[in-house]
Order: sequence, then C-alpha cells, then structure tokens
Amino acid sequence: MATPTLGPLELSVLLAVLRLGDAAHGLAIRRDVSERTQHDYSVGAVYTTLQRMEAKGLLTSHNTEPLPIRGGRSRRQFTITTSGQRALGEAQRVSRSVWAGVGKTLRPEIA
Amino acid sequence: MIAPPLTVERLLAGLSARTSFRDGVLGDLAEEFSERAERDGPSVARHWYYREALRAAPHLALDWVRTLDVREVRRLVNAVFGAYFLTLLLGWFMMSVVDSTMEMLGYDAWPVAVMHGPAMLILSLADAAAIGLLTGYCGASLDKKTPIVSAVLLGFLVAVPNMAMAYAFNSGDPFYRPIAGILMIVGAIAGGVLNVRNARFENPDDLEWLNTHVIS
Repeated sequence: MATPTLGPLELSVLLAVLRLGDAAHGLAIRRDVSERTQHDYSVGAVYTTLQRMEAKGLLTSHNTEPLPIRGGRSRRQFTITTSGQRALGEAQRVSRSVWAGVGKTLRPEIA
Repeated sequence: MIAPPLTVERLLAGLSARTSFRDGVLGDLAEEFSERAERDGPSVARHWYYREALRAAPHLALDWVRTLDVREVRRLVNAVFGAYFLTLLLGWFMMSVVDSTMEMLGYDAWPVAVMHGPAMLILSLADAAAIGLLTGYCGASLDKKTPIVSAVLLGFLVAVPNMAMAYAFNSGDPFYRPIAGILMIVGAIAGGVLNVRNARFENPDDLEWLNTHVIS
C-alpha cells in the first residue's frame, strides 16, 4: 500500500500526537501545534485535520470519561497507527532528501 | 468553573449533527474558555470564545455536509418543507384575521395597497424581514438537531422564489428586489437564532451541561 503524503498541518499534527503520547487530545494537540508553528490554528481546523487523518488510517481515537470542565463531554484521545508512523518516516526521508546540500549554501541569517 | 456563552454554544451545536466532531470542538472550546476565564477574566474569555466560535462554525457546517446521508437529507427536507408550509399557513391565517377584523370595524382592510413611494418600500422591506424571521423561527422549531441549518435553508427557500418572481414579472421597486431577498435570509437566520436562544432544555445533553456548569 502506498504511504499517504502529508500536508504541512497534517505533519505538525501527527508529530504532536507522537510527542504527546497519552496526553494527545484535541486541545493539547492544537496548543502544541500552534506553539511550535507560531500560527494560531482554529479548533475546527485541527479537528478537521485529525478527522481526515483518522479516515486515512494514520490515527485512531477513543473517548475518555465525560469531564465537567468540557460541559459533560468526553475528550477524544488520539494514537498514531503503524501507517501513521510509516508516513512520518517517509516525510522525514523526503525532507532530508530535498534539504540535502542546502545547509552549506544557506546564508547564516536565514538559517 | 465558568460556563461559556450558552447561546453561542447552542448555535454552534445547531450547525452540525455529527456527535464526535461536534463534541470534540465544543468540548475543547468549553475547556479552554474555562481556563481563560480563570486566568484572564470572563470578559476576555468571552471575546476569545466569540472569535473562536466564528472560526469553528464553517468547519462544523462542512463536516456535517461531508457526512450527509439519505436519512439525514430526508429528515432535513421534512423539517424545511414542513416549516415552509407551516409558515404559509400561519401567514394566511394572520392575514385573514387582520382582514376580517378591519372589515368588521368598517375600515379598508389594506390601505397600504394605495400607498406609494418610500412608505410602501419601508413597509415591504419590513414585511420581507418579518416573513424571514417567522420562517426561520418555525424551521428551527421543527428541527431540533440542526436548527440553524434549517433556518438558513428556509431563508433561501423563501427568498429565492420571491426574488425570481419579482425579476420575472418586473414587479416592485428595483431597489426592493435584492434587499428584500437579503432581508428574508437574514431574518430567517435571526429567527433561527431567536429560537435556539429561547429553546427550553429538552435535550439530555443540555441537562447534563446545566448540572455540571450551574450546580458546580
């Protein structure tokens, strides 16, 4: 099966899920991604991405117990699948490949 | 723990029928609102919530559109057309009551028929907005699952034929035609919002929400 290609937000979200481990729920993922990318992503944008990646089989999710702070709603906990890990590995390989040899010629102020 | 603005939360919930996506978004918004309210104060948190609600609304609506199935479409069609005919019936009934009351009192039932100029225009536009408001309210009343979606669809259902007929028969003031259509749609959305705002706590989710927010 071909490894799915990841968009920039998908890559950031998938890495956040991997990094956060057991604490990878919607709010924590959005905070992590927004902090690292310095971009204020909306709750809807992050959930749309999570939903899409779940449909692609890159993530799985389950609901926790309902919490009073969420108005009696559950948190949705995300876990990366083997397919998701493969997609990350592929993205890293492609990134390394396209950046290869650029570091030496990049001006210090840009690097 | 401070609760997020209930009306806005209900409006957002009324945009999407799918539980998992909607609850994820609304739950995150509620959780972050509560944290921000404690840290920055309720007023700042409310502003943040309004802004985020606006940003989340298209995602909720799109998610619902993406997952539409035959059953959901049938439910929506029933609600929208049911409300449409209910509004027609209500409008006809109201006009009959006004008509017969005026006749009984010995007045001309529709003196506006001889009115011209700005007065007629203002009255027609107010009428268009009122029709929109009534249809939107009825639509939201008949559709507890996605009241705002029904209200918006009804707005278009009354506005589009109305505008098409006005253009086809070249009737009414040229200024009136597009403005009346827009007013009908805006009125329908306002009717839906009004209904959601006034809705009683019939949904078990709402009761759960009240228990956790008001009692704690």
